[in-house]
Amino acid sequence: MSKTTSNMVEVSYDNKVVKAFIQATLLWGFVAMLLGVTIALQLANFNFNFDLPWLTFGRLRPLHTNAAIFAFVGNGMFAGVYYSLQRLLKARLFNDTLSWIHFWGWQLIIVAAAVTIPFGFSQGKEYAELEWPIDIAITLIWVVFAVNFFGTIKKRREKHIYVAIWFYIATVVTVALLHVVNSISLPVSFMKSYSFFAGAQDALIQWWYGHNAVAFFLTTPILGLMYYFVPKAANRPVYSYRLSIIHFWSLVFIYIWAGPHHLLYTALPEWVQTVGMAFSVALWAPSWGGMINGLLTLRGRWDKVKTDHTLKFLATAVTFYGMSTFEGPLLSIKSINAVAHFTDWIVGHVHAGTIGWNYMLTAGMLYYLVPKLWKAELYSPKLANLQFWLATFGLVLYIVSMWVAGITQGMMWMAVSPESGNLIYPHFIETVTQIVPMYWVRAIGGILVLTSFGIMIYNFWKTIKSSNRGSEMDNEVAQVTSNMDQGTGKPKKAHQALEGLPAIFTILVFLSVIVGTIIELAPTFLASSYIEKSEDVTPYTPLELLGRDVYIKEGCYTCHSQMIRPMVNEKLRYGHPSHISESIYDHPFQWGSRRIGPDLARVGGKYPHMWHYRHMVNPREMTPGSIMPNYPWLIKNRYNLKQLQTKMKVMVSLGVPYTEEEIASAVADATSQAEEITESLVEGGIPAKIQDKEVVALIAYLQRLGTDMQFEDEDESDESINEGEGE
Amino acid sequence: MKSQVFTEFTLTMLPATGLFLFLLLFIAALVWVFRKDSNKFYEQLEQIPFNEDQIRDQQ
Ligand code: HEC
Repeated sequence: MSKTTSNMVEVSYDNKVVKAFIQATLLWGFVAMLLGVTIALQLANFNFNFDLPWLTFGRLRPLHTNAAIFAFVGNGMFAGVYYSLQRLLKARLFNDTLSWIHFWGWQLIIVAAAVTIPFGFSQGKEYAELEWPIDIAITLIWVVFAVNFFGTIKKRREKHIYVAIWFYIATVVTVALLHVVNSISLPVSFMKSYSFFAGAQDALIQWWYGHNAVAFFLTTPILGLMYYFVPKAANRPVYSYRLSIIHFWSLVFIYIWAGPHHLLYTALPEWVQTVGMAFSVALWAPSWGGMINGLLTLRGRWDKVKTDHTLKFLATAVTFYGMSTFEGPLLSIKSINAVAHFTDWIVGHVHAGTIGWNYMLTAGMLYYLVPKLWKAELYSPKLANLQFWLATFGLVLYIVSMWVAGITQGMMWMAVSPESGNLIYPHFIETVTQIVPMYWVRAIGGILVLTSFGIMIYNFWKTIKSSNRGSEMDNEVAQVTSNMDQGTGKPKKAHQALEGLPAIFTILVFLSVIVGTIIELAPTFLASSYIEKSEDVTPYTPLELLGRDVYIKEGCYTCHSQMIRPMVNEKLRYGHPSHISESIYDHPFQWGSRRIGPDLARVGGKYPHMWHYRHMVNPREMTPGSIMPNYPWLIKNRYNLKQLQTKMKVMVSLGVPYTEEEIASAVADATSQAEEITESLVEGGIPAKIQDKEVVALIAYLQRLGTDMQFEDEDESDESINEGEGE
Repeated sequence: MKSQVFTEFTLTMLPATGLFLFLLLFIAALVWVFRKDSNKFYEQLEQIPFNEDQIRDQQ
C-alpha cells in the first residue's frame, strides 16, 4: 500500500468563516424570534403596535418571516454547509475572498431588509417582500456562494460525493431559480417596483416560490446537515444509504409540484389544484423516508440521546420534521384545507417546521460545532438542558394554541344554521375575540422559545470566552488521503473531477426541478383561462392605484385576503366567489394567505367612506374588540402624485390598458376623485385639507374592490358552489 | 376550435407527463440503488463522514 502514502496530502480547512456564520446565526436568530414575539403580542393586544408606522403588524410580520428564513436559517445553513463540505470533500473552500464576500454580502442584505421593510418598502409578495435592488444583491451573493461551492467540489480529494452534498446541490440550484423567477418586476423608482406577473399567474408563481422556499431553503439543506451531523454525533453511519438516495430523488421531484396546495378553492383551474393536492399527499412518503433514516441512525444510541445535547436536539428536530411533514400533506387534502386555510392552523404548522425542525436542528449542530471550533468545553450542560425543555415546551404551547385557534375560527366561519340557512356567526369580530386568549398562549410559547434561544447564546458566549484564544483553530490542518485517482496516485486534474458525477448530477437535479416547474407554470402562459379578460373589469383609476400602493406598503395582506372561495358560507359572508379575471390587473396579486381580519375582495360599497375613515384611524370605534392596528399616520401623510404617471406607464408595459389620455390626465383625475371622497367626509365633519392624504387614496381603492363584475344569475352560479363544504 | 382542442389536450397531458416522468425516475433510482454487488460501494460511501485522517492546528 505504498500508494496510500503518496496520496497523503495536507489540507487546511477554513474554520474562520464557519465561525463567523455561527455568530451571525446566533445574532439573527435572536432578532427573528424577538420580532416573532412582538407580532404575537400585537395580535393578543393591539396596543403593542404603539401607533408607530414602522412597528405595526403589517410591516413587522414580513420582517419576521424574512429574518427567520433568510437570516437565521440562512446563516445556520451556510455555517453547516461550509463546515461539512470541506471535510466531506477533503478540500479547503474554493476561495477565501469569495467566502468573505458571501459572508459580508449576506449580512448586508439582512441589514438592508431590516432598514427597508419596516419603512414600507415592499413588493407585497410573501417571503419575497424585498425591493428590487436588494433582490439583485441576493442574486449576486447567491452566485458567489454557488461559485465557491462548486469550486470546492471541483478541487476535492474525495472521489465520491456524499449524500449530504447532493442535498446542498439541490438547494444551490433551485433557490437561484425560484428567487430569480419570482422576483421579476419592473422598477418604478429606486425602491418601488411592480411584479411582472399579475393575478392568478402571479399567485401561482408566488406559491410555486413560497412553497419551494420551504422545500429548498428550510428543508433540503437542513436534511443535508442531518445526513452529516446525525451520523457524526452518533458516531455511526447513516442507517440506510440506499434509502437516502431514494429519499433525495423523490423529494426533489415531488416538492416542486406541491405549491398549488396554497391555492385550493381559489379561482385557479381545478386540475392545477388537484395536481397540487395529489403531489402534496405523495410528499408524505419521501419525507417520512428521511425521518426514519435519521431516527434509525440513532438506534441503539438512545441512552446517549438523553445525555448528549447535540443528539438530543437533533433527534427532536427529526421527530418534529416527521410531525410537520405528516401535517402538511394532511392540510393539502381539500376537505381539510377548506377548514384550515386562512386560519392559524397553518401558522402553527409552519412553526412546527421552523422551530421544531430548523431551530432544533440548528441548535444540535451548534452544540456540536461551538466547543469543537473554539476548542473549549461547553460552559454549562445544565443550561443546555434548560434551553431544550423551554424550547420544547414553548413550541408545544405554540402548536396547540394554534390548533385550537385555527380549528375554532375555521368552524365558526363555516357554521351555517340548517334551519334559516344563515351564518351562525355573521360578525367576523366574534370569531376573532373568541381566539384572542389563544393569541396570549401563543405569545407565551413564543417568549419561552425566545428565552431558550437567549440561554443558548449566553451558554456559547461563556464557552467562547473560556476558550484559550491562541488555540482557536481558524485554519485546521488535516492529513488526508486523496482517492481521486487510484491508478497514478495523483489527484486528477481539476476539470476532470468536475466532469464526473457532480456535473451530471447537477444537471439531473435541474431537470427534475425545471420539468415540474414548466408543467406547473406553462399553462398560465398558454391557457386562456388564466388570462380570461372580462369586458367588465377595467384598470384601477389613478387614485385607486395610489391607494393600492398604500395597501401594499402597510402590509394589509398579512391580515386580509382578497379571495372568496366557492363555498356556501363564504358566499353568505363575503358575496359571490372571486372570479379569475377580477385580479387580472393586480401587479402583484393580493389574494393573501391568512384572515386575521375579514376578506376584502368585495368590500367595495359595503360601507360609506366615513366608516372607512374612522375605522382606519381607530378600528375599535367602528368594531369594538377589533385587533386591527390604528393607522393615524394615513391622515397625515400625503400620497405621492409625482410618481403617478411613471407608475401608470410601468403598468402599461406590464399589459394594463391605460390610454395615453388617461396617463396625461392622471393627476387631474386623481385629484378630482379625491375631492369627491373628501366631500362626503367633510359632511361628516372632517376638515377638507384631508384630500391629499393617503387615507383618501386607500378609501378609493377599498371602495373599488370587487365592484367591477356583476353576477346577475345568482341561482345558477350557486350550483358551482360546493355545498358539502358549507356544513 | 382547433386551438381550443390543443389547449385542452395540453392541459390534461401535462400532469400525466409529469407523473410518468416521476415514475420513470423513481424506478430508475430503485434499479440503480439496488443494482447487484453495490453493497460494498454503499458501505464505502456511508463512511465518508468518518474519513477524517489526522488533524492538527496550523501554527
Ligand atoms: C393585525 C391584523 C390587521 C391588519 C394589519 C389590518 N387589518 Fe383590517 N381588519 C382586521 C380585523 C381583525 C378586522 C375585523 C374587525 C374590524 O372591523 O376592525 C379588520 C377589518 C377591516 C375592514 C372592514 C372589513 C369588513 O368587511 O367589515 C377593512 C376595510 C380593513 N380591515 C382594512 C384594512 C386595511 C386597508 C389595512 C391596511 C392598512 C388593514 N385592514 C390592516 C385586522 C387587520
